Amino acid sequence: MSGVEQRVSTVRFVKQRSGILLAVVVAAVMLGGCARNAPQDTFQPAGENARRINNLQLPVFIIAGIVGVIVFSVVIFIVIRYRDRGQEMPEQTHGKPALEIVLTIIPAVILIGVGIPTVSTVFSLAKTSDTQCVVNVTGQQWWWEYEYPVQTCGGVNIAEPIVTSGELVLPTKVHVLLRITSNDVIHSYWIPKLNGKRDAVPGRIHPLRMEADQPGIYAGQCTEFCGLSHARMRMDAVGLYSADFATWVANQLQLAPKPTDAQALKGEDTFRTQCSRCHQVNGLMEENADGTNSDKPVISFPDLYVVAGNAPNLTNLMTRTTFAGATWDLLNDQCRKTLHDASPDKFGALYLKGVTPDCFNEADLREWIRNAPAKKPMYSSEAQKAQNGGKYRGMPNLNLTDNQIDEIIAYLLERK
Amino acid sequence: MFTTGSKLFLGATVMSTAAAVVYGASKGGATGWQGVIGLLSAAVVFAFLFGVNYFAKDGNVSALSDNATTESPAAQPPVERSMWPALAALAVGALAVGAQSKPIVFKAGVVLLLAAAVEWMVQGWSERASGDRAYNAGLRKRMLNPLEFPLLAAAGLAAIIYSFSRIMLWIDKSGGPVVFIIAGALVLFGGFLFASRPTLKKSIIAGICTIGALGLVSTGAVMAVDGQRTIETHPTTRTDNGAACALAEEGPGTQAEVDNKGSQAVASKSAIGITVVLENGKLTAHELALPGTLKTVTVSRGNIVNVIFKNRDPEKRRLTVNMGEFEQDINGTKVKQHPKTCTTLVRGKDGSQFLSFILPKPSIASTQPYTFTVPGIEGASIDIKVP
Repeated sequence: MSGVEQRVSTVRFVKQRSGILLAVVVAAVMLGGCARNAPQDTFQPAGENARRINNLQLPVFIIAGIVGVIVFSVVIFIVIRYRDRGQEMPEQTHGKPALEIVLTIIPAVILIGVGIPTVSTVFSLAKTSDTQCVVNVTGQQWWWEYEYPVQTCGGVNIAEPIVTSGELVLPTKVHVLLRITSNDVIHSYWIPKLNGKRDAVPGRIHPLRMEADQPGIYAGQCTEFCGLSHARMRMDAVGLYSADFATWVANQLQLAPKPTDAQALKGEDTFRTQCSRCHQVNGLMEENADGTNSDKPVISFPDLYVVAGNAPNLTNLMTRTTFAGATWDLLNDQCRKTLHDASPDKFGALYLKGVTPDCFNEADLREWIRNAPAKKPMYSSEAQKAQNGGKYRGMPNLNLTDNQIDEIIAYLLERK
Repeated sequence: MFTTGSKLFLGATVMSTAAAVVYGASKGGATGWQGVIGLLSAAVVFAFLFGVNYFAKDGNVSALSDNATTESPAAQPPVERSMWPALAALAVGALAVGAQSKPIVFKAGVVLLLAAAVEWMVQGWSERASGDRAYNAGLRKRMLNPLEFPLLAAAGLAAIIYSFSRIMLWIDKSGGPVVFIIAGALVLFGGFLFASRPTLKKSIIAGICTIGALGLVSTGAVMAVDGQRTIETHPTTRTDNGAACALAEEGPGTQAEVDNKGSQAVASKSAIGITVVLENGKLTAHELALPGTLKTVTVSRGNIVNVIFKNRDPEKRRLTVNMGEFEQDINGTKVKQHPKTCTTLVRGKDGSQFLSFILPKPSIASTQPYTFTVPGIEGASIDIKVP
């Protein structure tokens, strides 16, 4: 076969197979959207609000899909059927009132059909009058803080305010209202399985309804670009049955006791000197000259060091399952899987156990304490600090020794 | 002697140099030097172009003849009267008057002088471009119309907008919407009229628009002279660490309006977290989305807190935020500080005022609780908890 014949044959082969190739590419793209483990799947609602959104988007997608198929089919047909073959220019006409009216009315009817349920859903998602529990949510670079005001939250009395971070714990089947704001730049709060997005804007409070049907962990992600570690600004919502939620509330109100373990005791000292400038531990007292605790609480002052004016409160760190903006697990892989796969009835008890020594993912926490900016990019070098009015954005490298890291980990492991 | 092109660039060189001197002398400092360098750079470029044009006689073959400087179009005397010398003189006068009186007059003089210089220069140049007047006029238009039209349009638009704003600020607040509706309806009607009658003469349309614009500008000028209506000022947050915030009455300096942290911002007022109400001598609070009235409110540490204070009592009252008690080391002596922030006195019977503050420390950091109080009313207090 000559070279020319070979090339012709190749072109013919490509032409014959182009349809198959196109189908394969389209199928690959579509199959890429299928995943067994999709924790942030908006098409798998797990709460009343997300279900309302899903109930709206599904018919809209179907209608839009049908319209899209019709439009594309007609366009492709016309492009092929009436393509330029050197024929004479057909007669040009202008104006066809009947057709124009029909083509105006049809989209209008479709839009009305989509618009009515959309407006209805928007209003129902904005409703706040049926609130049974309120949580203040504050976005900071690059983590979320949750604060439970004094209230009765879904039947559970919260006598003193609670502050935590990374994990939003809420009682199931309770209408929770998040009051979302930010301390530095604009963030956006999104737990896809529980509701849509809501921007967190400094100086403003944006309400967002939240409700979980069943106990479990629902993953989320900041969806407004907010700086260097935006991609590592995650959050989890944790649903608990009411009784478990009451237990969680009681745990959160406990002050941190004096450590009993010798290494943890040293860790308390190290924490006091190295970490408490920014991280608050409720119950941590200043030390007297003789080494005993004074009655004066250690008060962190992150407003002097970080742009956000806040750092996560670590009083009950080991009651959470993640750290550093919910980016890394405090649980090892096995315990994490056990917790995430637990049935709703067993989930609460497992979650409330917190991080036990046998489930502790020490490696990631150790790396974090050793050099946080190396693990999660942050504006926390001295040069970057100077650019930010003398304040960090995120946690700096504290240059701790291995011994100090061991001590701090021992101390933190008792923070439950 | 000088050719047409070289005259243009010689003039530009002289103008740029003079501008550099004036700018440098009037501005001074680093900014002044930057401007002087820029203008002198322009002068150097113009001087170079002048040299090139002078040497090459504008590249005009006929200009190379011996009698080019006497018989060429450029050598002919001006053929049209010009208003630009008079306007340039007026501008120089404005510069002198403005330098001694108001900066706005000086700035207007600068703008007018620049405009007159450019127009005069181009007109003078174009009139000598050829012996054909029509061609010369077309040349001038081609040079200046792209500059004149947008600038004149912008100036006209600015005059209309400014006049309309003066009218809206002069008329009563309740009359404003009526005038706005009527003006909008007239514009709509005019547009409809012109569109529905495409045969309407351009001169008629231009006449109607000109009359309308002149009416608007003259009315605006009259109302600008008469002054705007009385606009009520809204006193806002005070922060003076105690003295005035503890007073139930006005004290020295407490009348002053302090617009602290943009507290008049509509955006802030539309994001109120806590509403504090004084009624019958009792203070109650409402938190966004929490049911009922509260005697304890929870505030996030380090967050901006937006509060509205509503005074339903007959007397003037202020809302004070007592931001705890903290020890501060001042020259080795520990001094107790009681930071406060407050509203100014709010008129009674449904007066209201916005207040914005931040509590950077948790409640346990203070030896005294954070509270809302109303000076002069015993027991009117709401606890603020900061976790």
